[in-house]
This record gives sequence, C-alpha cells and structure tokens, in this order.
Amino acid sequence: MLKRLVVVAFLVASAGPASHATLAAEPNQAISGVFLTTRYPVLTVKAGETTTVDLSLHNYKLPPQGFTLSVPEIAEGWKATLLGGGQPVGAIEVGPDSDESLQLRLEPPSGAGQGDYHFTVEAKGAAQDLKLPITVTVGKEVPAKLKMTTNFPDLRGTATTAFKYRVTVTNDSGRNATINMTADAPKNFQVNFTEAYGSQQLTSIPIEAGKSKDLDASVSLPRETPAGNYKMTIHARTEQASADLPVSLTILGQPRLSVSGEGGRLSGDAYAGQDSQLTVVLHNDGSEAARDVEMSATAPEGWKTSFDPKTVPEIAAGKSQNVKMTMTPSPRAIAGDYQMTVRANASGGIDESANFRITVLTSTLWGAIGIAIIAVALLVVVFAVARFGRR
Amino acid sequence: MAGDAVIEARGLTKRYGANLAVDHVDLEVAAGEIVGILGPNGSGKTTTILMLLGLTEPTSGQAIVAGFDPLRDPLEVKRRVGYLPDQIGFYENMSARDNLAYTGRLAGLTRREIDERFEAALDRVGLGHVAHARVTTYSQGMRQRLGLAEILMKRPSVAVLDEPTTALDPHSTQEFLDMIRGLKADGTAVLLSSHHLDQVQSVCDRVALFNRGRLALSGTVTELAARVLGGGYVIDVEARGDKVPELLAEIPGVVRVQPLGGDRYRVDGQRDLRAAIARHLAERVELTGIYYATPSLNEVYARYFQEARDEIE
Amino acid sequence: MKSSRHGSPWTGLGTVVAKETADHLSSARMRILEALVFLTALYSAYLAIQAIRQTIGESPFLFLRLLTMTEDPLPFSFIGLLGFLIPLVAIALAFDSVNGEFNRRTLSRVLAQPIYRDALLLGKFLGALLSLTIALVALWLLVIGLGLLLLGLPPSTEEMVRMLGFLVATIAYGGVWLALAMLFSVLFRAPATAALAALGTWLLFSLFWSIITPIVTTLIAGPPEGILGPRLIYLDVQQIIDRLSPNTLYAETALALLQPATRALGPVLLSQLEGAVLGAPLPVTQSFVLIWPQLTGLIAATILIYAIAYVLFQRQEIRA
Repeated sequence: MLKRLVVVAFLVASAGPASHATLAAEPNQAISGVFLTTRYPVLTVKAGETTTVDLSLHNYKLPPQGFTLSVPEIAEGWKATLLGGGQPVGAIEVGPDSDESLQLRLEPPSGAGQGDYHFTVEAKGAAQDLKLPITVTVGKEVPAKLKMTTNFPDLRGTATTAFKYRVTVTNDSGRNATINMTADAPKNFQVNFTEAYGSQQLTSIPIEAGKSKDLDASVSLPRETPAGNYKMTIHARTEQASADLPVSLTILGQPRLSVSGEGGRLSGDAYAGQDSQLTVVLHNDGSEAARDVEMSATAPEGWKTSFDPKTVPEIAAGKSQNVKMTMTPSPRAIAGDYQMTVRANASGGIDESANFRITVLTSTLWGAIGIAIIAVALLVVVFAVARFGRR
Repeated sequence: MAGDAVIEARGLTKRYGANLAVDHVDLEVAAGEIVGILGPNGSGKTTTILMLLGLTEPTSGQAIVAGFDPLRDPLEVKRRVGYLPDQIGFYENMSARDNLAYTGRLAGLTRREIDERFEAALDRVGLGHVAHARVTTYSQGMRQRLGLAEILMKRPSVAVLDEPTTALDPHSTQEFLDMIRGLKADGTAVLLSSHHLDQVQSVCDRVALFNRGRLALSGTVTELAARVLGGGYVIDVEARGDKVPELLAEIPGVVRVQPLGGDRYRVDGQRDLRAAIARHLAERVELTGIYYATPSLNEVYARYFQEARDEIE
Repeated sequence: MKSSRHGSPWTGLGTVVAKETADHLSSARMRILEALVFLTALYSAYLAIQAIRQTIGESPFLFLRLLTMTEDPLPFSFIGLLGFLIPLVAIALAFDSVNGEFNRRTLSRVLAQPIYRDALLLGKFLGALLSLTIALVALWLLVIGLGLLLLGLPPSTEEMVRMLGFLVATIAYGGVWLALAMLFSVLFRAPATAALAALGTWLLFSLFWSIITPIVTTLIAGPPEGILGPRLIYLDVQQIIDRLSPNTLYAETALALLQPATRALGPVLLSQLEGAVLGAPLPVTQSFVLIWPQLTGLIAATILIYAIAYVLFQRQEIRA
C-alpha cells in the first residue's frame, strides 16, 4: 500500500516538470541555451546516508547536442555516480526544447564527519562547458515535525450525539511522511478517523512535506455513559515524529425511556367489556432523570384506557417505574389479537412508544350458559325419567 | 294360601281409556302348580300376564309375584319369573347361544353360569345339535323351544307361557307339554295360557277362565264342570232297553242325562252315582257297561260361553 | 299413583351397550358405510396432504389444514365430508333400533328380563354412539398417521388439542343424528318409514337449509338490504335460523377449531375489526369459547331429542 502510494507520487513528480516545460516554453522565448540545474544545490543529509540529487539538463531552443558528463570535484572518500534512467551514464544527448533528468548518487565514506562536502558536476559539450556545484552538508537532519490543531477541542453533547473533531495535521518536516492516527480515549469510547468530508475510515494518511490535511476524528461512546467531562488525546505519528492533541468531551446527561410490559413482554390479555390490568414498565436507561413522564395509549375504537399514575414526575437514570394500565375493550370486541400503542412523553421532547398485542378474551359467560343449556336438557331427562322412568 | 303362593293377585284392573281390559282379577298360583288361563282373544289374558310381570302398569289392584310387587319391584319379579311371549322373536343374525347369553346376562347370570346352564337347557329342549346355529335357520317350533330353554336357564320360580303351542305340530306339542311337566317337576309354578283346551286339561292342575276382562271361573276342571255343567261327575252308561233316560233321571243326584247315540248315555251327577245307577238299572234294563268319565274342559268352555252369550242376548 | 319403583334403572345397561356395539361393529350395513366414509375421508386428507407438500412450506397449523383444505377432484374438505356423511352413518345405526325390536318380537322377551326400558333405550343409544365413536376415533387416528407419514412432522400440542375438540364435536354431531334416527324409530313402527323420515331430515338440513333460510328470514325480518346497505336484523335472524340446523352448528365448530384465525362466527361490524391483528391465530381457549354455544347446542340437542324419544318409548305398550 505504501509502496504504491510512493510510486504514484513519483509518477506525478516526473510528469510534472515535462508538462511544465512545454507550458513554460511559450512565455520564455527569450531564453535559449543549455542549462544544468538541480532543485536544491545545497542540501543536508544524515551521516552515513547515501543521497541522490536530482539533476536536470535543459535545452532551450538549441539544436540537439551531446555532453560528456563527469564529476570533476568529489569530496574526499565519497563516491559519486551519475545515473541516467537508473544506470550509470557518461554522456547525454539533449534535444531541442527538452530536458533530461539525471541523478547524482553520493555515497559517503564510512565515518564521514559533520561538515560541508563539495561536489561539482560537469557537462562538457562542443560549445558549452556546464558546471554545477553542489554542497552536501552532513549533520543532523532537520528534525521531522508534525503539527496537529483543531478549532474546537471541547465538544459538548449527550451520549447519543455524534461527536466529531476537525483536526488539521501538518507535516512540517522536509520529507513526505505517512502519518498514523490513534487516540487515547476512555474505555468503551471509540475514535474513528476519516478524511474530512470523506467517509472512508483510515488509520494512516500520507502527507507531503510541508503540507497539511484535514481529518475528522469521530467519537462514538456508549449510550449509558454517565454525564461528565472526558479527556482524550489524539495522536499523529510517523516513525520520526509525533504530535498530540488533547481534546475533551463534555457529556450532558440524557434520559432515555423504554416502554415495555412486565418481563419485557409486549402482550397481554383482556376480557371484552371488562377492565383488565396490564403493568407497563417504564425504564430509564439514559444518563439523566426523565421528568414529567406522561402516559397515553392509542387503542382500537370503543376501548377505554387509563393509567395509574397518569404522569410520573421523575424516573431517575437507570431506574424503572411500573405504571398500571387499565384497559377496557369494547363490549362488542370479538376475540383475538388487537394492537395498541402505549406512549410515554417526557419533558425534553422524549416520545417513546411500544406496540402491545392485546389478546381479547370473550367472557366465559357463554360457557356457563352452555353448561346451563346442557343442565336444562339433562333436567328434562331427569323429569322424564321421574315421570316415565323404570318401566 | 299365604305360605306357598307364588302369584297372588287382588283386584287387578287395567283400563285403556274407556276400555276395561282387565276387571278386578283375583288369581292365586301355588308353588309347583300348573295353572291354565283360558279365554277368547281379547279377554284380558295377556294383559294380566304383563301386569303380573310388571311389563305394564295396572290401573288399580295389587299383585305379589314370587314375593315381590311387580309395580314396585319389577326387577325382582322379573328376575324370578321366566316369560315366554305368545309371539317369540330372536335376533336372527345371532346364534342361539348368543341370544340366550344376552338375555342370560340381562337376567344377571354370570358368564360361568351361562356356560354351565346353556348346554343342559338346550339338550332338555332338544336343540343341543343346533346350539351354535344362527336363529334365522330355526323353525317356529325350534324358536318356541329356544324360548323355553331361555326360561330353563333362568331357573325361575314361576314360568309364564303365553300360547306356547300355537305354532307347533301335534308331535312337538306333546313334547312341549312334557317339558312343561318337567318344569313342574323342578318345582316351578307354571302359568299357561292356551287355546288348546285339551292340552290345558292334560297338564294343568287348575284352570282360570277369562271372559271380557273378568276371571269368570277358576278351579280344577272337576270344580268347573260342577259349576258350569251342574255336576262335577260324569258317568257314561251303556244299557239296552226302553226308557233308559227316564230311568236314569229318576235316580236322585242325577242332574242331566244326555244320549250319546246307540245305547250310550252320559249322566251328569252331583256325586259318584255309579253304585246307585247300577242298582237302579240292573233289574229293569240290560246294563252292559258303566264308566266313570272325566268332564271335558271343551264341554265346560263351550257351555260356559254359550250361556254367557245367552245371558247377553 | 306413580309409586316409586325399586332397582336401578341402569340395571343391564352395560350388557345392552356391549351387545348393541358388537351388533353394529359386525353388521354388514356398518361395514359398507364405514368403508365409504373411510375411503372418501382418507382420500380427501390425502389430496390435502399432496397440496400442502407442493404449495405450503411453513405454517404453524399444517395438520389442521389437512382437515380443512378442499382439493380437486373432491368437492369437499375432510370436515365437509364428515358433516355430510356422519348423519348418514348415524341414521343407518339407529333408524331401526327400536322398531326393529318390535318387529322381530324380541322386545317383550328382552324386557321380561330384570331390566327397565330405560336401560334398553339408553343402551341402544350409547351402543350406537360408541360404535360411531370407535369408527371416528379410528378415522381420526388414521388421518393423523397419514399426516405423520406423508408430512413427516408431528402435530403440535395445540393442534392436538384442537383436533381433539373437533373429534368431540364430531361425536356430538353424530349424537344429534343418532338421537333423531332413534326418535323416528320409536315413532314409526316400519323401519322403512323411519329411515325415510330420517333421510328426509338429513336432506333438509344438508341440502335445502341454505335455500330455506333466506326465505324464512325474509318472512320474519323483511328484506336483506335496507337503504343504508345490509340490514343487521336480517343478518341476525338469518343466523339464528341457520343455526337451527345441526349441520350449521357442526360446520361452525369445525371451522373455528381447525382454522385458528377464525375470530367470529357471525356478522362482524367493521368497527369491531379496528385495531384487530388479522390472521393472528386465536388462543385455543378462545377458539373453544367461540364454539362453546355450538358445541353445547349440539350436546343439548342430542339430550333433548333423546328425551323425547325416551318419553315416547316409555309410553308405548310393549304389546301393541
């Protein structure tokens, strides 16, 4: 993954100057000649590190010409190699209005001390002798540096809020770097990083030297997280550098109500035309007391419902409250299942409901009447036996 | 009659609407006695029998059969009484054994008792060889015998036989009458209803004569003859000579003299007049024979109903 | 006058029941009828099973569907078939039960044994009912066995309870027709007359009742439609008249028991359905509450018709 990113970066880098050259050719018509250039003629390298310096040979408006390449000045003990197209080269041809890239590979001798080392690259052509002095300073590398900032380090919200920190990460070092993002958060908090306005979660992001990128650090936390202030630290790390960003979350308490029946059952029985009781359990599994909970129900036509108590002043966080619901199905209700909605409204716009399935039972009065009918029939038989029996 | 009476009826009356079917019948049957019930159709014989069995309810009157009141304890009565209906039927698709086992079970016999008694009963009525055949193969006579076997199995103290010999040929009738005598020998009292007067006379100790729902007469044949014919003694006289009937009529105690044709005359007397007849005729006519004759039930019956008709007219 | 008699009226009842049952179970008449019922009923159940296997995968009441589905080429479902044929079997069992005894002249001989007529009549009724019950239980078990074999899964407890209720209702339904046939066999001395009367009643209830009901209803309650649509009073009266037929009572009972989603057995106002969860099966107990009037009606009808037959029989002279 990293490798591919690097390759892509390289391709962009190599295509860039070429297109730049063609575009730049128009306004720079005055310039003509062949130039040997490099971007950073003076550079610093770490001790013992082989350095490659990019060179470029530009030909503006001159016929193609050849140049012999050499490195006449080499600091002592160093080994300098000119590379073209990846191989050591000794001469180069450059066409009109084109440029060729070269690399100068510099291998320091072991134990090369701190200090400045001078090199000169020479390209000798028929008409021109081009010289390019390069100074390599061996010493401590510029310390890699990362910077991380955010505009709003303190966020407030309830446990269900989607918290998101917009974080700007700046690569203040001289080289491109891949930055790993992590966060120290309280237990059960989860921090995910995405590119700003992006949705893809990431754990690391490449940032070119000197550039910065915006990231979103979104925090998800358990709903039951108690109210309070939580500190977190976001870390950006490369191999060489790191940056920390302390942020904080202020969780505000929030009631969260659930409506259910006893034991979580959402069903009950009721007799047609008769009062039936059903215990509704209000559970506050939020982090703040629910206040002024008002009960209501939506039942089929002809049903009567009432609650005892009708309103509950307060249900503390994590506590339950039983409410007795008295429902009276219509006397004409036929047996079977009906749906009714039990609703709990609390201050703060909390509106929770649950659908209960009420099985309406018809009165067993008919059963008694049926038995009575059979009893009457049997009485008739008893009478018949008494009157006509035993013949 | 208290001690050994198995049937004792007092004032039994059955009324169907306006029709008086049985009118104050008193009847007594002693243990081991064979009593014949006579009378024309519709005279109340069968109704009386049904009342005695508790199969129909008397409008008034009382009866004690085998020690129980058929009105209050019909089950106890029926347990002790065997009944052969005038028109007997069996379950055609069942074997004789199954038919009898069914009624045997209903009579309260155990399976073992049924097993034990069945063979003997069928042998006794001469059906042993067809005991396991379906009743549908039986002739009417065999069915009557099977009915009797049913009674034998029950070992009742009273057997009530309603017209049992109607459908039988003379030979079978004779056998059947023997079986009835067998019942008497077992100690069973028999109430026998029949039209065949000679049969009744041959097996019955006493007869009861029904007429229009009433028990008109009852007693031994001799007693009946005394009341209907005026005398209980019948003497046949064989004599040749003049004025034999007149001579006979002169003898005190002679109720009636009837020429029988030829030189024979029948004398109804109030007592045994043989000696007196012999004395009176011997010197006057040629007396060739003098016989004691039993009064015929046929005669009593015919005379009685002749008189009864005359009365009405 | 009606002096109390001694001895249990049930003396000999067991013997009569045993004999009658044995008679019925071994009679050719019963065998032919049972073969007819068994073959058609099993065929209908088999057709239903085939259809279930092809079309319906999962259903909580697979076994019950087996009894309620109507499949070509039979025009009846299993329960429809039973509703149609059971009266026939019951009539065959009882149409000559009493007059047959008279005609065979076995009655006086049997009643000369120490039993009351009460036991004879009840024994005959119970014997016939027992025979019918034996046949129905056998058929019931056969269908369950067939279902087990071809569906490859056992009925649930609830299904078993429902099917048991259905069995009881079927027996009660048979009881009504037995009592009716027995009543006719007491009323008419000729078995053919009794059979004709019973079959006529059967035709009346199973074929013509649906034609008669609207006519009678219109006579009593006026036209079916008013200005505002169907008139409720018409529907109510129609239902009452419809339910005078034991076939209606039985059909309703079977429907409510075997189709658990059945919530009502009469006209239902739209307002009564508001909020109702349609298609949800009724609890078993509620299905039973629903059909309780029907079931008790069938049982009470059986007892009452039997009582009429009983009184008539007791009043008859044995020697008529």
